[in-house]
Amino acid sequence: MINPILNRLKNNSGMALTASTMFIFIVLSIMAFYLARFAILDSASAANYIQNIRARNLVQTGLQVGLLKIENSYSSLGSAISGKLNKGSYNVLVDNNKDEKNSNLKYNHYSLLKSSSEIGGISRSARLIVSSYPNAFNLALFSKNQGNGTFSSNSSNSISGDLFFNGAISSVSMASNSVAYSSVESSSSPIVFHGFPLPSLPTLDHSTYTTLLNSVTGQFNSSNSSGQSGTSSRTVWNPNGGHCNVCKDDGDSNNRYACTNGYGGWSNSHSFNDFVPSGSTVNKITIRFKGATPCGGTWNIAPSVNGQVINSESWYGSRCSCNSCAVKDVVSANHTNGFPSYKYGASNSLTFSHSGARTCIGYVQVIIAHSASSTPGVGENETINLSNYSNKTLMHDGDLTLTGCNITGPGYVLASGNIIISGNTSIGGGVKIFSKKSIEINGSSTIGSSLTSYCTLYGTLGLNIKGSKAFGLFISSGSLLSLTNSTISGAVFSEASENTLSNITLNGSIVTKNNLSLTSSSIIKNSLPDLFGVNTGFKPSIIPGSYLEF
Amino acid sequence: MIKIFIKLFLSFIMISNSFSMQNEITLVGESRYALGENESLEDARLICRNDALQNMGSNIMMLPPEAIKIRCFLDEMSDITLVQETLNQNLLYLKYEAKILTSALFGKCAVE
Repeated sequence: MINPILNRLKNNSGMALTASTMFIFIVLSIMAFYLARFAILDSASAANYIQNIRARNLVQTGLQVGLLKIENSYSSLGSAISGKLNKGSYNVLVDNNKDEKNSNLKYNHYSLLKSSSEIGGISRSARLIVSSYPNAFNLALFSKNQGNGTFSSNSSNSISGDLFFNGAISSVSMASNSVAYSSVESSSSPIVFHGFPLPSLPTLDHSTYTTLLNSVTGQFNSSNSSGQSGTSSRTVWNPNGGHCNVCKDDGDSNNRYACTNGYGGWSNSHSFNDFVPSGSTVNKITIRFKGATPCGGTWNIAPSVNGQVINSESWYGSRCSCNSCAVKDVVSANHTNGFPSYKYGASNSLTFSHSGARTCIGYVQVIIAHSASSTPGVGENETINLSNYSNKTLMHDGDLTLTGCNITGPGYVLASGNIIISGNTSIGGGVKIFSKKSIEINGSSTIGSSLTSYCTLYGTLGLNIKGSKAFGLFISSGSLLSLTNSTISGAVFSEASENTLSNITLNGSIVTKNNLSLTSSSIIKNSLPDLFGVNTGFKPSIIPGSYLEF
Repeated sequence: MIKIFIKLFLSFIMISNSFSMQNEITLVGESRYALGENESLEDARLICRNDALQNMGSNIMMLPPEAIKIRCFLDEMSDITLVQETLNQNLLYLKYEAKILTSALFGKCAVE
């Protein structure tokens, strides 16, 4: 019984088949094991891949939410916004100073729009660089050249940073690493065709400024008043005619007289020098006639000072006897802002227009009621703190002239007329100066002190800066932009038909609707005032190519 | 009807009066006279009155005395009124007021 089993064990036939079968089994088992493992890993990868796509979509959704927010209100992203979507969450915020690597942003007016998302354990982040200015301000110079002129900039000028001119450029002098782009396809070196689409002129919402300017009422009265309040009088005519005395000698009269029929030497024209205290404002003028009453009837008298009728009066009487003294006053209306036509510090004319009964006059006095005051709309050598004004707004309905003043903000200076600032005037940061006409600044004035302490100027009809140092945003929507002998840091925007830069150093960017003329000037692309959270009428833009996932 | 007529008549009189007032000048004249021993007060008054009336021509500011025809001037006077009379010892003082039409004063009574 045992032997057949041993014999079979000793028999080697079928060994090879068995071994190979085992080997194949083992190999197949190993392959099956790895195949199963690969299948598991692949499904995990596929799941991760899908989640990754969802996270990327969500991070872009966050950016989109951020862009919509800053389009309408740039300051609305001052603090982060979070949201949930598709079983994930996103977080979007604006950083004004640092990029995603915590490095400083290239320019002051750039901001980082950063979005983060997390979905199914997958996190993604992305960012955009946004500018608080429209795209054209990313250039050193942009000109829409609406009038189809030719841009020419000789070697006396230098432009550091790219420029775009919508038309032909005849000559240009560019710094290294700066490109002059033109809309002309056949442009040749050093001018480069920009390619399509061409950059567009930014749209400015003027209502930001016109709404405020249309609300201007009242007058600016300087706190530095001068002159005196009171009444001053002067005898301007003391005739010495007639055959008898009229009024008693009271120090003003010499007793004698003249009559309207010519007797005694009557005259309808007289003059007198300004006699009110210097700096005073003439409010009311009284012409006093002292003499006998009219000779039987009514005397109609209308005296005028420098052609301005004081008033018309009638004087009835029947007594024109000697030693008969009476008084007739002709009084003007009260003029708070000064009697029209009165000449300060000069000779004034006094004329009579009269009719009716004959009258004899002993003397004529001019009596002036005056007040200590300032000239409305004029400020000289004074400190103007806008926080002392209602709504921090200095308003003047008319032309406003500020000479040698120190204006501290923040706040507004608004005028319905021209604004002229001169004489080493200093304007602090945060001051916004808007004019319904033109703004002219000269006399070594200082506007703002840095790109973070800057001013905003808006001239509806024009902007003219001469010999000054300025930081801020400068807008001319009228017919003229003229910058001369000045150093300007910031953004210049002009819709004017005539743009002139002469002996100017502009650190920032200039954008014009029409051609511009450069003479001995430097334009250096640089930081602009950060308008984050400020409504200037411009819409923010995305810096092209700034999208990055990290 | 009669009432309306009376009203119109009175109105006319008032308007006429005011017009006449506007065309008249009030004249003022004064005179002093020293009474003699045998002279009566009535005579003195008469002399003093005439003198005061003549002096009125000298008190018109509009015209010098020599430009007035005194006879015409005295004839054209009306409403001669004694304003003040004083007698201080033998010194008589009279002040008169009178009226004259401006048209007469500056017309026929003025020397051409």
